[in-house]
Amino acid sequence: MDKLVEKIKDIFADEKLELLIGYTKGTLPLRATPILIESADDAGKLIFDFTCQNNLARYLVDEKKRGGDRRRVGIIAKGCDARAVVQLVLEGQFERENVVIIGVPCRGVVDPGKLRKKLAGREIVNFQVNGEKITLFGNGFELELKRSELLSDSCLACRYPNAVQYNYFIGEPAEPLGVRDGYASVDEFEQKSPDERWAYFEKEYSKCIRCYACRNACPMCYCEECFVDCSTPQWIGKGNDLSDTIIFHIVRVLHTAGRCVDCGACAAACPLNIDIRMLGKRVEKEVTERFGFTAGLDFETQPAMAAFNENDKEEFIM
Amino acid sequence: MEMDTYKLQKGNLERFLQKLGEKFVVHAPVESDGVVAFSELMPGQESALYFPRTHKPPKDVFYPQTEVMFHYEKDITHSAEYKGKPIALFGARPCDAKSFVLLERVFIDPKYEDPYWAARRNNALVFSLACNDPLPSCFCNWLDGGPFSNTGSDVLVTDIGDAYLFEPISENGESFLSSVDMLKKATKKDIEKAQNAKERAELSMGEPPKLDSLKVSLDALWDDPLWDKVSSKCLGCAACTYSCPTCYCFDIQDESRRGKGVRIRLWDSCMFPLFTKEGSGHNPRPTRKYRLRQRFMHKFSYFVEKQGEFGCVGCGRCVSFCPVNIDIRNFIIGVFQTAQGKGGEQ
Amino acid sequence: MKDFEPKIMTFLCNWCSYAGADLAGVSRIQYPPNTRVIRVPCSGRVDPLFILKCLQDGYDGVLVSGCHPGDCHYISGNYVARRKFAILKTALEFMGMEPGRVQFSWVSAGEGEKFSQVISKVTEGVKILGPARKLVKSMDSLESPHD
Repeated sequence: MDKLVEKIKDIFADEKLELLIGYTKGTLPLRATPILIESADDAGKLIFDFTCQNNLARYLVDEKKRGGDRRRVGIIAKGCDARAVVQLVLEGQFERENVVIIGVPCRGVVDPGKLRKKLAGREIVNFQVNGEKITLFGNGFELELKRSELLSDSCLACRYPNAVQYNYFIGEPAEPLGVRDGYASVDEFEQKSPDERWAYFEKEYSKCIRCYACRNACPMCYCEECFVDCSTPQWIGKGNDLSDTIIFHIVRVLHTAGRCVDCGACAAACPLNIDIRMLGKRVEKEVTERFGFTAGLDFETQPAMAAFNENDKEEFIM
Repeated sequence: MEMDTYKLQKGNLERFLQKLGEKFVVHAPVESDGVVAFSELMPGQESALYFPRTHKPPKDVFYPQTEVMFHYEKDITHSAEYKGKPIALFGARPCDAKSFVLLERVFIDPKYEDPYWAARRNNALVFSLACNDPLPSCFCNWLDGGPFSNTGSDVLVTDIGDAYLFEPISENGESFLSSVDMLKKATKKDIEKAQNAKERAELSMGEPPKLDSLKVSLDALWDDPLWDKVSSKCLGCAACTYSCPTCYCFDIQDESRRGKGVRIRLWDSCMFPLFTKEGSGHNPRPTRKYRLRQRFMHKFSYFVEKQGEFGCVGCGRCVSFCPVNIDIRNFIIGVFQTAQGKGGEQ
Repeated sequence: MKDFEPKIMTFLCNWCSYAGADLAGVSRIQYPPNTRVIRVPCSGRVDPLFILKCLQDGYDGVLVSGCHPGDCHYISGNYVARRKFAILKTALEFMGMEPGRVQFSWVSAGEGEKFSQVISKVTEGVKILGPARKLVKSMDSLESPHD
């Protein structure tokens, strides 16, 4: 951690940063929280560890919206976050020279939703890490878990734990966790019958209260007016009617197709542990296989859904 | 009037709820795929009373997220106020029970009564379940509440291990309990057990800070940079408002198709930019800083002005669910520190 | 279902498919009358939200038809559409929506016969599937649960 802090202080000076987006310790055990610092003096507050779940690229877009996109902004970036930054630059949301990507090696982050589920309503006051085991301590109980049981599903299937594009990289690059093949959960799910699959999505989405935590946590959802807020025409109702809600989720997946980096921020933000990622992951697989594109790997390749190839497959067309 | 406390062996709970279900529609915490929320208890369905704090508060029992106000068809309208059996809310926590007292000040104001909320709330019976094990994120005791508080309850239920104690708080509570044969009178020992549980629970929450000067301190900090700091990481979602037992902002919309339609009231959130956007395009709360300031000011200043007490019950759901860990408790401490010139954090 | 007559919504691009449909009409080619037509400038104009709203409104099937690749009046509209539609179809079918409900075709201005065949095929397919239920939003769903 000291290495991180020291390096950040240097970067602040060398790059003449005006803002740095990073993480600091949260108020709850196993939670970090985003922090925006404007001076190297505050660098001592920065941390990076497996509690740093949030996708900080989200704040790059806000920085632009506040009229500050001329500021030189540094951002601490896990592999997925760095890809999100690249994608944002590709989409013209930020100028490459105004963002300083500071890559950090990521070995997976805790999903607060998974933690809540494991604790079944209880809360912890402390925890201890022992290699691959984490012991959770609460008032009157103790629970030992494997790290992989708490890590986000995105992390378990992660292919890019380290920033592919960066200005600086602090630490030794991490190996992909390799716990699960990227699309294994999607392939398994596709084995079920169509009615079973529809029943699953209905069950998941019926929990949704349309708080839009998933949408707002996502760095790719930066439209000035989201389609759910458009009133001329009003595409879907604003209440929690199931049909409207399902369409919200389908369309959000379509809008982020080929742009999603599977950082898991959506699923982690959901207060009701909805399986937000399943549909998007299948679409990501389609974009990769059909169009050969993966989001955020370089600054040149046109994003798949903003491009086309005359020879695209059209076997589904009558 | 001194009312006796009743006792029910845990094994008889299902029968009791069945008895309750004869006169009332019973809403209790129900677990579904790891998420616990209040819903109508079906015959034979088990209630998740063991769950310390439900994901969703029981707010939607009297105030559904999507509520039809009336149906219309050309010139005819059919008002859709609730006309069903009275509602029994079983297993709300003291914070949730208190929230109804606060919401009632809003929805059943002497001058303006909300017929939709009133139709469900009036004739409802609230059985609140005391918290033997408050969670670390609970802070009801900061706000004149407590794990065994009976504000807003008709009956306070306490788990004493092998049995539940039912303490009638209101006359309606007493009148129902006295009509149920299977309830016995609690012994002195039972009541002692409950008292011990209460003391243990209250002790576990520690000493709360005094919030007497919070409103005054907040009001003086309108232009303080502390708002920029707190709001800098806010995502602008509605996780806090929708999981909050005392948030009540709503929108009203008409939806119609082919000559028939409904007017619906649906939850809305002051955290959304669209909430205050005017037809001209002007937005008096243009950025998240303004909206977050509004939310916290409403809870700790405006509600005090209008309704005489804080508009927060300290349930801790917003603390637990905020995706970026904005902690309202830290914010409160920060306000005091800033007010004292110490430059508070967060 | 013997007496079930599906309602199909069809989006036709103005320059090719709509003209093709017109040709079918002028040539007196018979095809099932179940479809309603919305004319769009280009198949690329079709937002997946249009298709989803049709399904929500109770349409049993949706067809989008445009110019053949290379023939788009706006040069590349149908190429862009092709990518969008592939993703939409993937998403819907992955969720369990019946594949026959949302379909895409290329019909040129001179393909009156093909147009009628496409409509027939889609209508037959949807007829076998029965009425659409999965995304339908009815006014009834807005009944408050305690009434």
